[in-house]
Amino acid sequence: MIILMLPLIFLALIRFTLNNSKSDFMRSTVVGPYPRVGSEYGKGLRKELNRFYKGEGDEGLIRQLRENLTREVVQEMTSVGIDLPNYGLIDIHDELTWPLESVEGVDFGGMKKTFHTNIHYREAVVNGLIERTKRIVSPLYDVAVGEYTNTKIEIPGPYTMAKHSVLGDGAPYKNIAELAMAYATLLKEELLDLKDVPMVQFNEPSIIAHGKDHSDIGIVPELYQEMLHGVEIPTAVWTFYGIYVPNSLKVVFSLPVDLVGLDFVWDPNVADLLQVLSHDKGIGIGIIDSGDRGYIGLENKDDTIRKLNKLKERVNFDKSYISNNATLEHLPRDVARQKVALIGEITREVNE
Amino acid sequence: MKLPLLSTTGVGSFPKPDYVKGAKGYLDDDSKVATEEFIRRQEEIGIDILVDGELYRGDMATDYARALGLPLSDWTRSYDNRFWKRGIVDAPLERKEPIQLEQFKYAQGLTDKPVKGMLTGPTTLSNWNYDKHYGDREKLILAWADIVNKEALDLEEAGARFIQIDEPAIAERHWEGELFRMGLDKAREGVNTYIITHICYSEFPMVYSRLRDLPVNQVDIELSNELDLGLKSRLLGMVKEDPISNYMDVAAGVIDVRPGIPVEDVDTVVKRIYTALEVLAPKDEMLQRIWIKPDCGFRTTKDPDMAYKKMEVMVDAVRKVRTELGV
Repeated sequence: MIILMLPLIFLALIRFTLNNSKSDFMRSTVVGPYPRVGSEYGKGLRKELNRFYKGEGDEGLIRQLRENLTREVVQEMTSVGIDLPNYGLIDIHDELTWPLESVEGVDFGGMKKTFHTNIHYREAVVNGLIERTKRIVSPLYDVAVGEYTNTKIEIPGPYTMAKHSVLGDGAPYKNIAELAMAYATLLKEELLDLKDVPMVQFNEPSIIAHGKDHSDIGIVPELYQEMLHGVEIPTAVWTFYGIYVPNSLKVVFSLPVDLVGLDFVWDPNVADLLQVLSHDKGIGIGIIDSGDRGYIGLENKDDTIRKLNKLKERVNFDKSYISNNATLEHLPRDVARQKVALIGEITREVNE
Repeated sequence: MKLPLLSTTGVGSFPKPDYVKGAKGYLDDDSKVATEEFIRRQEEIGIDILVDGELYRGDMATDYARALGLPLSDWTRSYDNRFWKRGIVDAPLERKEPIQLEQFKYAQGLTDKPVKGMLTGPTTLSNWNYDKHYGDREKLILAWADIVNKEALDLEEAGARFIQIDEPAIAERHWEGELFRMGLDKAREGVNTYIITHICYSEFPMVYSRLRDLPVNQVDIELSNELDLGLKSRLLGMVKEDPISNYMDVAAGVIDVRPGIPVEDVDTVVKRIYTALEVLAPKDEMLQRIWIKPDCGFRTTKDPDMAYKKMEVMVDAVRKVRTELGV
């Protein structure tokens, strides 16, 4: 009997050692959709989609190209040491309203700019009850997991989706707050179907995006209480494109998530706020510039490491991740590769 | 020049026929043939103020970067399957020779109807290219504005009766409203001809109150989806309260040019026109300030046949409205 239990005892000892090993062990991740063109698969996909829009084009080939591109993108991230990649999101139209393609009650209306950038989203026009018609998470996520198990899911959060929707004539919701709750309920249904996922990250740039109305962010905690009730997967909420004030940080830290992503590029001073606001979260340190404001250069690695080391007193590194601040689609793929490699390199050196 | 009420026009671009390959921003033999065909078709359909179709063009920002000799990045995505290569401003911007002049002169030489001279605006050029030199937004925007101004002066001297300065980036950094205005001001310095600014696919409510102060004769604005929403559209609510047509002429976009959107039927477009007139021309005398156009350049549509059909539907709808209004 004891002999039979030896492997189990051994495994328990390994787990104990890992869980109590060297502290301040930061990890790395990538945020947002990844640039698509910039490889043979990417070029091929672009060409075939152009043919498809002209009424030619092969759907099977498009699917194959997307799968190959997904594997390639995940490899690009993991080959430079990214601990928690996403699947690249190379099939989404835009990063703000794409989940609503799997939903009844929504039509897609006008196209608008995503915040201050030249990347566009389609405005969701709500004309009926929001109901899930099929799985929201892309099949390409499964392809990515086949390549690398520890791949996270990224979805726009219910607040941000609601802020990029409009209530049409047939909408049964009185206001954006009610709509956001409907989105939260929708996403909860999706979450309860998920198994063996290392993390689901909700992107909520609307909580802080510069120049936008944040007067209603008080509804966000209730949305997440509803959405995550009964959900046992690790979760994150990620914010970007703005400056933090105590209220916005209090809101994100009050959410029942494990990790809070912050934009250290737009707001390097958020570190000061972390000193005065207590929290128990891991921090997503979005410190590598995604190029959203036209900066194409590479950060100085040593400067970045210095900034990170200053955070040690305020951030639990064991629970935290280094990353880019927002989608790398603002950059061409060759530069994005360099940025991702830099994230990997910085993470290794911080942990030494 | 006397124009009909509810004059029709285009925004600029048109899908290239298959025989036009590798467009780099200047006219070659194939793009000349395509331009002539496009000018003729617009005349046949009955468009009042023509555009040249930009059939020589690669991209509205990239072509300027290329013309100025800037290095180019690899592709970056704008939406769906639309990408562009960004210029990298790594030295002071300097125009070596005109960028858009030959294209305008060629197109105008093909027709007696007015052809718009087309330019890209300084804020859009600043936002859609990378900057490794100026490091200061005002300096960058004014440097691009200087280039655009030289272009505008050339077009005016060549006889352009309408010059359109495309500024789709207007609402991207809406907190830079003053810089945006300064850029346009500089771009049209010394230019007396009729200036249009085209804006599209933006959160217009963020900048609506500032449109009236723009140093232009006309704002050309993408509206078809807002018109379908009617007064549920926040933008249309703002327009109704204080029509921009109180301050300048307005070209209203009534055709959705995005790829995959089917050709609208005439009645849908008629309804959009009437909704536009309800908010933009609540008084009869304001009718003369309104032009009708597609939301954006037809290049977005990707399919030339579909684009021509959409253009025909637009003109048919305008004719119907003119008849019903007795104008």
